[in-house]
Amino acid sequence: MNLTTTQLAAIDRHLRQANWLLNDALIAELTDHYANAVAEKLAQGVAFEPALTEVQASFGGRAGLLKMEEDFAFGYFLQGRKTFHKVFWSYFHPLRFVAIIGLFFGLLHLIEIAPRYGRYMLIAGGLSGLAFVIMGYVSVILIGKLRQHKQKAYYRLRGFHLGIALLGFGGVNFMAIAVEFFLPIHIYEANETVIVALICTLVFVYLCTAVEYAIKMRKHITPA
Amino acid sequence: MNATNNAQLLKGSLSVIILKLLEDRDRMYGYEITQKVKAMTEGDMTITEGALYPALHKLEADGLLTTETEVVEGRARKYYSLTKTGHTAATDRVAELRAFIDTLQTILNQSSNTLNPAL
Repeated sequence: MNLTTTQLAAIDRHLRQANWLLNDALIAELTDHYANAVAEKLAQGVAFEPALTEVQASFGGRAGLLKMEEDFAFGYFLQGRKTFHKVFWSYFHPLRFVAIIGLFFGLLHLIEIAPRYGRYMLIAGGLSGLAFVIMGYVSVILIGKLRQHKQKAYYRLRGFHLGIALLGFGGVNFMAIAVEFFLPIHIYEANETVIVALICTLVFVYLCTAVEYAIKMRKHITPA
Repeated sequence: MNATNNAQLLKGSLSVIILKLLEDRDRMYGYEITQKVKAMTEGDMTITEGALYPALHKLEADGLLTTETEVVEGRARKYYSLTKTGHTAATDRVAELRAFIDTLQTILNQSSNTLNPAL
């Protein structure tokens, strides 16, 4: 028995409001489970509300659901940390490391021929990144809405939107503002080109790691 | 079987059950796993949702399971399948559990013989 959109909305409300759940990915998974279990009970002649309560009880009630969300979030955090470290250190493995060394010497050369190029490059990179994030954000919303409309799907993209926005904010903050802290003017005045090139390379590696990490973890952020 | 005892016995072997089911089938979603176990054991064994999902999430975090999400009947459905490491782990853990059950069987048989020497 297929549930109606109203019944699916009631399950979503039940999970978010009655059980205080927040994690979109977990809510999406539980919504599917609830929908299957409730549909089975409806077919047996149980009314919708009691069916919902019975399914909730099988998860250990609100306390059980909240505990599950806590464990899920903690597991996600641990997995995220592990993934981030793994991706970051992969840039120091032979094949990628050769490219990083090449980048370092390329930057060193650029900074030597144009002393303050490193700073300007980071600030310009930050602003381009912001433009890229805004365009990406709008595209994701449009594609998501189109998919929702075509598949008549009842799911949200909110978590993924938030992920992109946070990544964009972090990137811009890191590149355009924190450059003042990471590359203070006195380093340039002292003509420390090697330090500047090293900082720029590390920033590049960090941002590449953040993007690769976001792609790898995307499936945990967005429900569909 | 008593439900509480059943849950206690099931606790340690739940991940093995999940790995074994996924080894036999290409991919499964949470509700399907509970129903499959119920059907296979004719209702004798029920996996509670409160135990199933944390076990699935842990196996995924350990890299033994991978997931893909599809929209089915207007809602997102998360399918679990074994990774390459998961396939190896499934074989190993099923073998370990079989060996454990055999040992347990030996102990139980010997204990009943000691308790009932006349038999």
